[in-house]
Amino acid sequence: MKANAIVFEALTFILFLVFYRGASHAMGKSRNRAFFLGAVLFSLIIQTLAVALGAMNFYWYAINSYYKTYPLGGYVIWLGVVPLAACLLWYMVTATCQMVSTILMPKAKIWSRSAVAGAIAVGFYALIQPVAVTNHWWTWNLKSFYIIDIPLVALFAVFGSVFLFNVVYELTVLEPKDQKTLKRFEDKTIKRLAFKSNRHAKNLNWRQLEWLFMFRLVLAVVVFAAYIAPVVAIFWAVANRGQIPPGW
Amino acid sequence: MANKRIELEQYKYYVTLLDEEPSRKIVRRGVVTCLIVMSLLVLGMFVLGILSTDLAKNAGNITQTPQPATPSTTVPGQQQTPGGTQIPGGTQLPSGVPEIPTQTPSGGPGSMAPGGPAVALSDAGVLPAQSGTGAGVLLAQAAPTPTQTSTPTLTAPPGSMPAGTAPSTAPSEKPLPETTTGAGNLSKLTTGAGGRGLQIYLLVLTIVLIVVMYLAIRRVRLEGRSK
Repeated sequence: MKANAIVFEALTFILFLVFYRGASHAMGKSRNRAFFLGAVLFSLIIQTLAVALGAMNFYWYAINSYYKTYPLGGYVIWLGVVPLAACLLWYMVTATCQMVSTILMPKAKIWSRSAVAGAIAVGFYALIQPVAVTNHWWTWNLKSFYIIDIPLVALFAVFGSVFLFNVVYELTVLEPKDQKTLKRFEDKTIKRLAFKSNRHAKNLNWRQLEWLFMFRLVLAVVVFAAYIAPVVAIFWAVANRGQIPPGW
Repeated sequence: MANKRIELEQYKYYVTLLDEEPSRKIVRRGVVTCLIVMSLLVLGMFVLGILSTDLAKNAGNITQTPQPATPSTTVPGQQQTPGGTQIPGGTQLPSGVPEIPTQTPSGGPGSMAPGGPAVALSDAGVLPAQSGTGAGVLLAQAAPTPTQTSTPTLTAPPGSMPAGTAPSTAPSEKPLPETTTGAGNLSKLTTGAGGRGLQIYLLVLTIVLIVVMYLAIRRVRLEGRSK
């Protein structure tokens, strides 16, 4: 039996509605809204880059002959080249990992808590990915070392992205802090141009804090790219599977 | 005046914070809701994984190239195959003709490429043009596309080549396979452990994730009781 992309999409949307309400209670409305917006944009940028560079593909289902057989065919709502359901799934997994790591390790440092969150997210995706690739919800086409038909790069990417997102969220929204390495850069850019003051992150109002969060997420994307590029290069060298010829 | 403005802004921030700090009871309820939803998601993935076991057994399924959709117009009295190819009513296969396994370019028993069965039938020549006008349509649809071009091979008898022109035995770089090989193959995992490899893998991961979420729920509930 084939679980269509529409099954995945419907499942994700229904669970998302309940999850968002629960997360609003758990985090607070504004914080959850910021987390949600940040997570969707962050995952959207990363997945769009992955599609653009040919590492992954969400189109298999949409252009397949099944498209005619089933009503609505593939995904219904797209954000460019990435279906909304994939971004919502990433948000739900990241928020869950953030909550679980905070509950299980309340006194741990932010960095180790975020690392645990990243590890739990890898567990989630290790379960989801085989089902997803089997049913062509998305496909991987990357010269890499594969385990259970999932490129290891993808699992490293899940860990890195969830880890970085959680670090940024906790350092900006939950416990606003100025990082020494970033302070000078932030003072010259977002604080001077948008806030017109060099106040400490702790003393910013909520609206400014939200903008600072988004600004730091952009920096996190750059850090993520710097982290994943050597990983891709290493796995490219020791690959056990090549790329499928073009024509997707 | 400046001090007053800073004070007001800080005040505004604290108001937002107060608004943002719901009571612990609401927070606990929210966390439990989220974790239950994610447990349902994990269970859903487990069920979908179990349902997809037969697909996962097919090694070609993962790397299968999508087939372009073929236009199909249904005419009354005609049957339609899953691939969209129509078999005109009244067309009968000659008795005794063995069923030919469908083989798509990417290969794989579970592949459902449109027009697959028709290609196989026309290739085997088992569809005679006795079914009237429908046969022309069918044959037109079933016209095999040249996917493989056979290159003539030249076999030189031993010793016929001049000295110094030995056949090139230089070690050429072996191209990487397009399908995952070895333990990393999903179909191998699926057929492993008596055909229950994938089910065991999914079950173990599901249990681990649900236990992690249960631990979090239990801690939240303990916190609620202690207060």
